Amino acid sequence: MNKRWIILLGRGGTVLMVAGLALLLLSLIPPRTVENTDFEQTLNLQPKTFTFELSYFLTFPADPQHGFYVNAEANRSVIAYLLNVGREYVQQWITSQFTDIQPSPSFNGSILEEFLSNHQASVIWQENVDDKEVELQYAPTRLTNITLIFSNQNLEVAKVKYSGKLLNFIVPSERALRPAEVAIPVGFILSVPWLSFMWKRRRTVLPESLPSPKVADHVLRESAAPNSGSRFRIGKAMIIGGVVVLALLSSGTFLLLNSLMPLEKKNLLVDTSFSVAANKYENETVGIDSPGNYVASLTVSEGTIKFAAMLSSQFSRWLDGQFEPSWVETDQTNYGMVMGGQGVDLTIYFVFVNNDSFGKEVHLEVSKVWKETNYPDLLGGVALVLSGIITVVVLKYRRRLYV
Amino acid sequence: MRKPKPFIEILSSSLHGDYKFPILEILAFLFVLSSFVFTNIGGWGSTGASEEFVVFSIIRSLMGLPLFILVMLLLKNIASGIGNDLEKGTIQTLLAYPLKRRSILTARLLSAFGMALLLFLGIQISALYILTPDMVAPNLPVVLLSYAANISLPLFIASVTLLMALILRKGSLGVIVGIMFFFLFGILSSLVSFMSQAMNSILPMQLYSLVSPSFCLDFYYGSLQSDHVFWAPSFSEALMYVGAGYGISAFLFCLSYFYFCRRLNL
Repeated sequence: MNKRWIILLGRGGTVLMVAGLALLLLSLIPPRTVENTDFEQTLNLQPKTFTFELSYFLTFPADPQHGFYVNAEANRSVIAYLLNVGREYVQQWITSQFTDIQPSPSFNGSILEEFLSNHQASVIWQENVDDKEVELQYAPTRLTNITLIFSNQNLEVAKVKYSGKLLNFIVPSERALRPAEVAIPVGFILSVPWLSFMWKRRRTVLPESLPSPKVADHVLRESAAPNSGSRFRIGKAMIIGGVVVLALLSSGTFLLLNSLMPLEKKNLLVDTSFSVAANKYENETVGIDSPGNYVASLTVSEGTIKFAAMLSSQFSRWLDGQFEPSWVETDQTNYGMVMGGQGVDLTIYFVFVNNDSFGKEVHLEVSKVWKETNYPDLLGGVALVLSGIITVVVLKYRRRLYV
Repeated sequence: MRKPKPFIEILSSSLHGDYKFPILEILAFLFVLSSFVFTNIGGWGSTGASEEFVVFSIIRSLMGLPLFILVMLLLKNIASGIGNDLEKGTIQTLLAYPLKRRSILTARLLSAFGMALLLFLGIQISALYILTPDMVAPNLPVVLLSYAANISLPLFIASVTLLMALILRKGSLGVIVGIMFFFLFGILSSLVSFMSQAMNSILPMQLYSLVSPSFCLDFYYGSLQSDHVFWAPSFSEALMYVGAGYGISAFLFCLSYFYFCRRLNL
């Protein structure tokens, strides 16, 4: 093949290989959880019905950098659907087709079958959920609405426990990995003739190109004894050096990219356990004196409990029967709160209502959460990249070091 | 034996000089990383933005740092290529080839601009496809128009730098002016918006859009989202500014050719 073509294809190959390596590196970066978007719920799904996941975060359309993660398990087999249409659209379709039905979070299962038969292309994912945990990480390929549905086809009540969060990707791993898997080997194959050509040329021109008479003398002496393998040693040093540089630069870049993801920190404000007697309520107060993000995590020993967070004024109005908060019925949840403004000095009332005929143990943790720059990775990345650059310089000018 | 073609000879030696191993590879690595790392798709979903606007915004976001790297690469190629040849007198060697001057300059520019743009656009469009596979094909006109509009300013800066390098016979000075131009236009975009609103006239915006048509395109797609924009150019108007941007750059390149072929005494 013409030398020029070898160079052209070889350089094209190395560019392709490097682009593939960059994509491979990006595919290793895990997605970041969008702040305060975790949700965790337990549903008691009536026989032959389906229901929507009502999380506030799923009302926003997802985009190619903002996906969704969910894991679910159930005490008996239920079907989970992820649709690429909004919840409102599904509800509107149902109420337009079945005029006698009022908007509701839960409908008869036959309605879902009717909807799905008319919207087959809308189903992104469908999975049978049972006692084995089912996971889904979804990154849309375009701007799209998403709706999560659980459908109970059984004749008994199904208990579905699921949690989810919104994810922020630099680029979804699968999508970066697929082209990398093609680009790296293709690039390598294309560059092999050029690399071997360079290798041969280097071996022939090496003695003339040596800048230092001392080194030239050394090489000439070595070349007088052809079996000594001196030139091979130089080549081997270059290969080892190249591998070291590649390792330093890629690990440094990986750390630098990782440092873009801030470290999550938390300060525990309350960590307590208490009992809620049958058909009674209990409340815990937490003083909040600085703005920021707070998370209340609770677990219930048995069954579910109704839970709400209120300000002191709301709490007294609730006691007087003048205020009804948004209750969350759950056995385990992470409840996110954002406290804004300067000079925050609030008391938050966490209220737990037990409507069952047996007492329950509740464990509550309230923490202030925030994010910090990932300095260890940042510094480590800078140090490794600098070491890589210094190694390149040393390798490039090492012949001069002989002088 | 096949007769060597002088144009190909000059082109290949220029490519070798402009993109010594591993410059091209490092650039490819940086283009890929910076394209993804600095892209931030967010906020449009909740505002009910059209897909056209989202694609345009993603492209703007995707191009941020890579466009800066591209400008630096173009300027470096002018300085170390034609600028260096003029400064050190090595242009005489090129002129000894049995080729017209315009062909020599074309070979030099193909190497300096062609390869850089090919690499930039290849990686950018691939990155866009990897990130949003289902949005590229249906919005191909938006993709092409957005890239065309955004590359116009770097080409304008490169053409000015080239002309300066030829006239001054110094690449480095041209590069400094080029970098200043790049930052100046960044500052101007904010200044022009302010001036237009202060003067209650869109003339400053229109003038600025002649060299930076992406500014006009910004308003065009913005006007599709909201009625409350200061300037709502039509699609044909936006196309006209893109055409005008390329026209100005083409004129400056023609001037460079004219100067190099007819006026440059060595």
